[in-house]
Amino acid sequence: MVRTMRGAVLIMAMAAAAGAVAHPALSSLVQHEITLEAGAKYVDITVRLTFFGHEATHLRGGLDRDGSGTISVEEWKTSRKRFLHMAERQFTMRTGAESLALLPRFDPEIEAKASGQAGLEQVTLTIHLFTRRPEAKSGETVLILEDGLVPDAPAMAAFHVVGRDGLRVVAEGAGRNRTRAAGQATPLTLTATVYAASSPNNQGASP
Amino acid sequence: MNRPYRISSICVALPWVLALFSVAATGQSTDDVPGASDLAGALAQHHGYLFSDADNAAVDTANRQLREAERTMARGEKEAERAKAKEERSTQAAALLRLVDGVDALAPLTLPTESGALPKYGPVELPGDTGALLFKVNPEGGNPRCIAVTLDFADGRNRVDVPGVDPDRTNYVLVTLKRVPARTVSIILDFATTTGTHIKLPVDLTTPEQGRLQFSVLSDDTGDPAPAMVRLLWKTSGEVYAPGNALDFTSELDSQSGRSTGFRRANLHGKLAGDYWCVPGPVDMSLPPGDWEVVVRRGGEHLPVMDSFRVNPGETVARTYRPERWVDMRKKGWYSGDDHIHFQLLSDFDAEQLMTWLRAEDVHLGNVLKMGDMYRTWFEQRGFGPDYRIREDDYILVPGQECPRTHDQLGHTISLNLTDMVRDTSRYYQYDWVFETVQAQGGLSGFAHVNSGIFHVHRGMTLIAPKGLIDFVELLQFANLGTDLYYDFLNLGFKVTASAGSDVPWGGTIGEVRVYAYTGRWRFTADKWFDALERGNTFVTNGPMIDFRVDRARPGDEVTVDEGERVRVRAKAWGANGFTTPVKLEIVRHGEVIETVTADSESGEMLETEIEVDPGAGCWLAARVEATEGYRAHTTPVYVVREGMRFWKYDAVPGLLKKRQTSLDEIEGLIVTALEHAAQGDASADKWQVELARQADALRSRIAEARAYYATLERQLKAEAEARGIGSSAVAGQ
Repeated sequence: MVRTMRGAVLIMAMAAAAGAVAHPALSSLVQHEITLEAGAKYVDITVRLTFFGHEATHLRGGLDRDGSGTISVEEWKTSRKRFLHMAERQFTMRTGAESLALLPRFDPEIEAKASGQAGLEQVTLTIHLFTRRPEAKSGETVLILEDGLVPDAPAMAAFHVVGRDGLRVVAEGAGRNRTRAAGQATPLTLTATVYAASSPNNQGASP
Repeated sequence: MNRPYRISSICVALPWVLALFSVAATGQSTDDVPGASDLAGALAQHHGYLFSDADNAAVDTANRQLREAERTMARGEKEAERAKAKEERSTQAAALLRLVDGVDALAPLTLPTESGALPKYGPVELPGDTGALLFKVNPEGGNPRCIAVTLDFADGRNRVDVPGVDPDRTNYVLVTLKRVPARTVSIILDFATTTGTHIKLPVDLTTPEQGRLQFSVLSDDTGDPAPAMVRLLWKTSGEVYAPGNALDFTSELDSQSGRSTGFRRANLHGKLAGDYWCVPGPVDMSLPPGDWEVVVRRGGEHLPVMDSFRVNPGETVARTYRPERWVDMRKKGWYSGDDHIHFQLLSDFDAEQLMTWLRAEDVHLGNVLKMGDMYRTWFEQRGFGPDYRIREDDYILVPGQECPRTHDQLGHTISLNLTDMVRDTSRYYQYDWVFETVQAQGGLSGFAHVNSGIFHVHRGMTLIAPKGLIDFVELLQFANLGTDLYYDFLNLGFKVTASAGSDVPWGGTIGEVRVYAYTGRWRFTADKWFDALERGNTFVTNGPMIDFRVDRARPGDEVTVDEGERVRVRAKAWGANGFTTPVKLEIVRHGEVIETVTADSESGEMLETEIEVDPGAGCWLAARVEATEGYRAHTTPVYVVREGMRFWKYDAVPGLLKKRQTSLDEIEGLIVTALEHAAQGDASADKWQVELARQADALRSRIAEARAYYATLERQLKAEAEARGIGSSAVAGQ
C-alpha cells in the first residue's frame, strides 16, 4: 500500500547513517532523478530521491517519531523546515561563478511504499525548487547543478530537461554517479545549456 | 450546500482585543499573513481547477514572488532591501487572497469559542478523486493567516487535523484531498485553535459520476492492436493516471531501484519527457470527468501521438491511435537492441510482461541481465542459451549477465548471449577469466557505464583491453553520450564497439537508448544480431539515425590503405520531425572533429556530408549527431589501417599510456589496502576486501601482464617513428 507522508531532514541524517553502516557491502544506491524546466522567466527544478531496502525502512521509521504509523502535521512541519534548510545547503546551482538562489516552489513530498517484507520498502522524497532564469547576451546560458544530497550514500543520477516558451535546453551529465568515498562527499555535477529563442543554436525547441 | 455558521456579537469583539494583545505580546505586524506561501504553493501545485487560466498564472506568480520576498526578508543584507521585500510580500499575499476570495468553492465558517462538534457540512462535490476544501474561517476576523493541510485516503484515515487556527484572525484553510474513494465519503476536520479548543466539523464529500475511456493503439505495420507506452494526464490535478490495464513490473524488478514498477520515467527530453505506463492492449476504463491529455509512444522509430479530450460524467470517449513510423530501420538492415535490461524471468508470466514492454518500445533484441555482486545475484533467469531465448515475431529476449560487478574496484561488466552464467567469487576480480569463458561459450563481453566512467570502469578496461577481450562498451545511457574514455582506448589503437543499454530499472524505460546492429535484410535472428555486434557494425542513439561509410566500409569494418591513399567518407543523419531533428552532424577522426554540418532553415530532417580524407598513417573515423533537445547518436568507428602501423592517435599515445599506468597503479593501491586489512586480522573487512586480498597474487600477475603489454606499445611507438617520418629525438622527448 502506498502511504503519503511529509518529509524530513531526518532523512538526510538517517540516510547517511544507514548508508554508511547498514550495508557497506551491498550496492545501496540512492537514485537521484532531477528534472530541469526552463521557461521565459523561471527555471524549475524537481529533485526526486529514492531510497530502498532496509535504508528505506529506517528512514520511514525515523519520520514517524512517535511510532503511530502516520506522520502528524506537527512532525511534518518540524521535519520540513529542517529538510529544506539542508537541501538548500546541499543542492546548488550556478552559472559561471555566479550562484543562483534556489527557492522551494512547493512543499517537499514523501511517498513510502510499505511492504510486509523487510528489504522491499522504498521511500521517495521529492523536492521542488525554482529560481529566476539568468539571461546572457549571447542568448546561451550554462546552468551548473551540484547535487550533494545524501552525501554518504552512493548515488546514481538521471537528468531530464525541458524547454518552454521557445527555449531549447540541452543536458549533460546524466548517468553520473557518486561512489561512496570515505569521509568525503562529492557532488554530482550536471550541466544544462539553455538557448534563448533568438540563439542560432536553438533548433526545433519545444513550444 | 454551504451553510454559514454564526457566533454571538460578544465573541466578535473578543478576537479583536485578542488580536491587539497578540500584537503587543509578539510584535507581529498586522500586515503579516502567515502561511501565505504554503497556501499559494498548494493551490498552484494541486488545485488549478479552482481558477481560470489567467488566475492560475497569477497564483503561480504569487507563489513564486511570495517565496522570493520571504527569502529576501530573511537573508537580505540591507535593511532597505528587507523592508522592500516585506512590502512585496504583503502585496503578493493580498493578491493571493483576492484570488482565493473569488473562488466559488470558498466557504465561510465561523467557529464557536468552546470545543465541540459542528453540524455536518456538505456534501461538497469534488472534481474527481482529487480536490480541495477551502474555508474562510472567521471571515470577519481580519488579519488573515493561511493554513494548508492534506488528507490522503491511501493512509487509511478519514480525519484531518487543522492546527493553529487563530480565532482572532481570518483563517484561510485549504484541505487538499487525495485518492478520494468514489461517490460519497465522510470525513472529519478537527480545527485546533491557538486558544486550545478543538472544533470538529464533519464533512460529506461526493465525487462525480465517472466517464469512460476506451482506446486502442494500433501497429503502424499491421494495423493490429499493439502494446504502447502511455501517459494519461488529468488536467484538473496535473497527475498522471494509470490506464486500467497498465502492467506492473514490481514482482520482476526485484525492488532494486526507486522505480521498480510499471510506471516508467523515460530518460527523454523535451516534449517526450515524463512518466509512462506500459499498456498491453486496448484500454477500457473509468476515469474522473474533465479535460485529459494523452501521449502514446512506441519507441524511437515512431512519432508519438499527443491528444487531448474532454470526458463528461457518464459518457464514453473512444479513441484509436496509430503512432506513425517516421523510419523503418529494419528495411535498411538495422535492428535495434538494448544491451542492459534487468528483469526477473522465472515464468511465462514474467516473459509475457517483459515481451510486452519490449514490443511497446519497439526494441527488437533485449538483453536480459541477471545481476550479481560479491555477495549475491538478482533478477534471476530460468536459464541461458538458445533454449531460453524468447521470440515473438521480430522481437527477441536473450538472457545474459551483469557480473562481475565491482563498484569500488574495476567497474561493471556485461556478458551477452551466454550458454551458462559465469560467476565464481573466488575469481571475482579476474575479469579476463569471465570474458574468456564467455567467449568460449560463443558469447560477447564488455563494460557497462563507460559513457560516464562510473565505478572506476577505466581500471577494468585497462586490465582487459591488452588481451583483446573487450567486445563492446556502453557509450550511451541515461540520455548521456560520453566518449572520453571510449576515445582514449580507440586512440591507443584498440578496436572497441559502441553499444548502449537502458539499465532498467535504474534507467527509465527499455530502449530509451539503443544500439542498432546491422544484420542485413535477411530474416532477423539473435545470432545475426550478436554477430553484427561482434563485428562492430553498430551505432548508438536515443533519437536520430546515422548512416556512415568510409569507402564501402560500415562502422566496425577495417579499411586497408596504402601510403598516400585517401578515403571517401559519407555520413547522413536524420530524425523525427519536431522531436529528434538533427542540428549538427560531425565526422570525428581520432576524437577530433574534422567536418561539421549544421542545420539551417533548408535542412529539413536530414543532414549529410561527403568528404575526402587523408588517413595519414592510419586512423579511426566515426560520425556523431546532436539533435534537438540534446538527443545524440554515435557510430562505432571505421578503422583505416596502413600495414605495419597501428591506427592509433600517435601524438597522444605517451599521455594515454600514462593514464593506463595510473589506472594500474590504482588497482595496485587497492590490493595493498586489502592486504593490510588482512594482515591486521581486521574482522570487519567485508568480502570485497577479503577476496581482494585472497586474489592479490592473481590480480598482480594480471597487472604485470598489462604493464608489459603497454610497454610493448611504447616500443611500437618508437618503432613507428621512422615509418611516420618522425625523428627519434622527438619520440624520446614525449
